[in-house]
Amino acid sequence: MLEDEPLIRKLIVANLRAHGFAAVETAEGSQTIERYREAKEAGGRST
Amino acid sequence: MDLTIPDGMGGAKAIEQIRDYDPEALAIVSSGYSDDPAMARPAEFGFSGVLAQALRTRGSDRFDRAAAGRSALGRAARAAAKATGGSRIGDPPRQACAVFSGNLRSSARAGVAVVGLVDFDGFRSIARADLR
Repeated sequence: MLEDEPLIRKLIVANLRAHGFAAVETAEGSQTIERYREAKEAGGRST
Repeated sequence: MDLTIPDGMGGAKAIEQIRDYDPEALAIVSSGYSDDPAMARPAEFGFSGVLAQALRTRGSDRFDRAAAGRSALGRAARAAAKATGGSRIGDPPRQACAVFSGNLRSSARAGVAVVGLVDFDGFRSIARADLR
């Protein structure tokens, strides 16, 4: 999840988790890419 | 993925690099700027879907109309607040309302919207609300 506004980010992540997704918060694009790579390499399915 | 990140990399650039790394990556673009090209033509930018984001604070036309229940989103937000026992729109200061919906028109047809109410002290409630 990429969103710079903390409240909105938390809201969306909480909503995604409530719907069964494994969600990670990121606030900046390069962080999103990094976390995506980590999740992919850890074998998790990440979208 | 949010398109606009002040002083940082936004969603369009990020999904480009993520899909270079993993061409099967799926991502949904989200923005309050509905006229952004990536919102209008998400596939061209590597996005699989669009999530319209309507974030308005008290005093803006759209927020006030929503708070007064004169829009489908406002009614949905009220219903969500009631259903979850969360903050009510229209309650005192410092409260903002964030309403999210996938394509509003298709959501309206499906009869649901994903709605969140945000208080500046922290989010209080999230819910799917019935638009009817």
